[in-house]
Amino acid sequence: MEDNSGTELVASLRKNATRFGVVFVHCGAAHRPLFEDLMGAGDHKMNVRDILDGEDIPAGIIVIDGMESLASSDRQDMPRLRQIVHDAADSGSAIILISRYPKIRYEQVPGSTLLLDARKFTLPLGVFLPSVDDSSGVWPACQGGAASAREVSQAIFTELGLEIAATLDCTIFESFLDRAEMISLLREKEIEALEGGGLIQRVDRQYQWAIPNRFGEIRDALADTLAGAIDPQRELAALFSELWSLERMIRNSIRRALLEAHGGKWARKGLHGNLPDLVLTRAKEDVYPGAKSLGEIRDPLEWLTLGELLEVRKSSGVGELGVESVVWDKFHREVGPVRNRVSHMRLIRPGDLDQVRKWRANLMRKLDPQSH
Amino acid sequence: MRLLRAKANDLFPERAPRPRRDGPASASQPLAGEDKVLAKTPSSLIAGWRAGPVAAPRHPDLLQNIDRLRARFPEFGRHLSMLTQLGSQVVYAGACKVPDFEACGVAVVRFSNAIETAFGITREVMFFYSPHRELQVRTFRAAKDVFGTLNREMTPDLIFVSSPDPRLRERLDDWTRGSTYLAIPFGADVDSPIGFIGLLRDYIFSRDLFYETTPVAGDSFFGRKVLLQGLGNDVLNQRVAGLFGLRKAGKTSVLKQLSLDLRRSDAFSVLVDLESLPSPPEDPIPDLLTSLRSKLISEFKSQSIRTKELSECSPTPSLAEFKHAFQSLLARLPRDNPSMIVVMLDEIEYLTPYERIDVAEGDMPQIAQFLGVMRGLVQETSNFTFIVSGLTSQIVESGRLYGRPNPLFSWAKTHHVAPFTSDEATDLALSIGSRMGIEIDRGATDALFEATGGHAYLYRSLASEVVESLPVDVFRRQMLRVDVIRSLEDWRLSIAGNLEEMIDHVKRYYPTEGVLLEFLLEEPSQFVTIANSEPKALRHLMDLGLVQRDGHAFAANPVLELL
Repeated sequence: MEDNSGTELVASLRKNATRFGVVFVHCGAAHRPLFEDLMGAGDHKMNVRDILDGEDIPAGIIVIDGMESLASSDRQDMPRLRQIVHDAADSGSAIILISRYPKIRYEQVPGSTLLLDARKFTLPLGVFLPSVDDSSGVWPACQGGAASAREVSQAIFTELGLEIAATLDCTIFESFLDRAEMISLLREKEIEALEGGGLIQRVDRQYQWAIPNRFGEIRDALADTLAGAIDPQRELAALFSELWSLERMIRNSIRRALLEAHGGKWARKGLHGNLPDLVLTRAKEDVYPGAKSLGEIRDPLEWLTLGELLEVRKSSGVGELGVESVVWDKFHREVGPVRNRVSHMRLIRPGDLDQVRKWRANLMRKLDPQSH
Repeated sequence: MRLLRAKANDLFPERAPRPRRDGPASASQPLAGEDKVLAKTPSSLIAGWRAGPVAAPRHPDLLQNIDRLRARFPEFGRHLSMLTQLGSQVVYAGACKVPDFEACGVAVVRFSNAIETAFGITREVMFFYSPHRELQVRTFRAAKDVFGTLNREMTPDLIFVSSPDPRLRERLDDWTRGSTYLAIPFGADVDSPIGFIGLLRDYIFSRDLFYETTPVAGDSFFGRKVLLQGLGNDVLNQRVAGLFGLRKAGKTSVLKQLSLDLRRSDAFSVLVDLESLPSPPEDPIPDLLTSLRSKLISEFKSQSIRTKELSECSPTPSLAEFKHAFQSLLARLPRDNPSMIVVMLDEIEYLTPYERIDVAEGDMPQIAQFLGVMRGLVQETSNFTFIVSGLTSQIVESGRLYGRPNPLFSWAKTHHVAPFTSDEATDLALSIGSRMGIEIDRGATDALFEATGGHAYLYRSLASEVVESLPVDVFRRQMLRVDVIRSLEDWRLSIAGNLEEMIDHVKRYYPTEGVLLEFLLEEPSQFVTIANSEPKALRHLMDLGLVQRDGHAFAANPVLELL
């Protein structure tokens, strides 16, 4: 980087900190060379762990690094930090939070509003010139051949986290959209993460890929990241638990309605088309090897996918069960893909858990009023 | 909102370059020297700034005091000359009356009408003179204390400071960072009338009083009169109240303003931010009781009320210990003095996370017990009540809390912090704008309101963005509709993440309302059918200001179009 750009960066960051009070800077792998400039931007620099251990925040513009250590730490750390930072800001200090991770990677816990409310400060990238062979120099980390685009891409995805990687799986591999249109699928928080990570940048109020002619390497790095994810994601257990309860609740409601309508013949009367054969085949391949008819399966509904279950609701005449048809359709559109991701051991995405919880709360109230 | 954005695209297909603004709070060099200012100020004639001059002082005592001050502080003589040329006059001069700082001097100035109008000044302004080569922060604090020693109508948040300290500007900028208080360094580098105007411009025009990072109260608080009155009545009649609204709608600001208002009725309050405490599955009650005890003791002591009962109980009291100590203290207090003590529990959803409220089997009975104790204190005393504040009114509407009966069910009076009305928003814009020396025309206030739906944080944020784009090198600063439109898209991109989180937050705590809102945005033709079966959810969305009536139909608040 040229000398004066570092000075401009520091001046701009200080101005933002003074104006907005608390500023969040996502300085990940792509921007690593800027880290020293950022740490020198304040009147004092501190590590977040030292602050949580009791070190006082002095007056002035304070740069706090090490934020990523709070991404999934003790749930007490974030509310404590929030209180400390707010007290410092109330006393006139301006705070710059430096993080290798984007905001979206931090667990939603009390105190998280510290990050949500902090003004984002986006670090600059080099100018992309299509005519230049090695456009990876757009990333400061690749300038001067310090690192390859592939290496830096890998590091970026590691820092962005698996949830963002899973979102990009859909965006880049599954959408079949034009590269420029892919970004339109992303939510604001995801865009913020990618912009902070250096994968996209804003040009004339539009977002575009930062290094479009190295897109193949970025895709490959993403594929490696996705394939290499073998540890369960943080929200997976809670998500599975919610899905499990939700689907069983729907199953139970349909079963009760069918029982009420048809008594002992509820399964035969409720399942139409090829569903009876499908259920029998699946059950025989698993725990009912000797079953010859649907009547020998305790609960045929347990052998249906969510989509098939909802089809039974529609075709069996049990009615809406207290939930409007358009709401059932919306539920299926939104939860079906999440359920498929979980059941096929694929990565879950930001918002999946919130989505399922929302629906569980909605449907529980209507399908099982006694429990609410 | 769509129309506003369409206009922005039509009028400004390419991004308009913004003039650089290097305010004194940045690392840039301060402007100095008449030539630079003349080149930047269209009406550089001193005569323009002299318009509406103040009459020269004639009273012999004042003239004598001016001479004395000039003798002690020679720079005051130069300042006097500059001010006189600008049609402004000293209306008071004397030694500082703050004990131990009598070596300092004070002058009070009335500016010409032209200067007052251009910079939004409506009262006299204080000039503080320190003889010290190294200005200390206690001297600066003494300067602020001068306001209390003079019986004059002075601008409370603006002061000029003169000192031989070569680091005067740096120190004052540091001591006022993050505050709305403006301390302008009047050093030797300002050596002409136009240089003085440039100094005023640098500081006053660089202020951004719209953007607030923390809750506001006092001069920075606007509107909500009916809401404050309602809450105040509840408190003084010992009714428990609930205050609900979107994230950053202004709930905490309302609570802080209410605290100030209540002092006039001899009631005082303690605010507890529940987001600072552990949240379930961790048990928050021990920390909450510790914090509450500590804050109550602190507040009582500031009111010169003995705190024996609370001070003698454990610093980490159990629920029973706290109740006993606090109830004893309340019983001991004289009638009507204080008239009422209010505990304000802010961010109440952190006590009742969405995934745990109203479960069939509770694992956090302490929370219901705590609220039961609070309810008991209200019922068993005549001088205590409390307010719960947060996003979701479920805390007062749900029959059960963690599997136990909810003590607050149908017991608290509910209030909502809705978006500003158009008049309230306009009042905010004009009032704050004038303090920054900015005229805001009707088209601009309309555009600000249309774009933000009146949401407090979004309104201030957009106004701040527009102000940042206004030129500073002008005689008169104005904000017009076109300025708002020009700033819209950049602003939308800067707050889109915040707005998305605001709506996500609603959906987490109000799942039914979340689905309803999504229908309104995605399948509006289905909305009325669904809403008819969910009247309570519809009511919540309207109370939050997210949905409004549009004749016989419903419409989403325009702010949702920002997503």
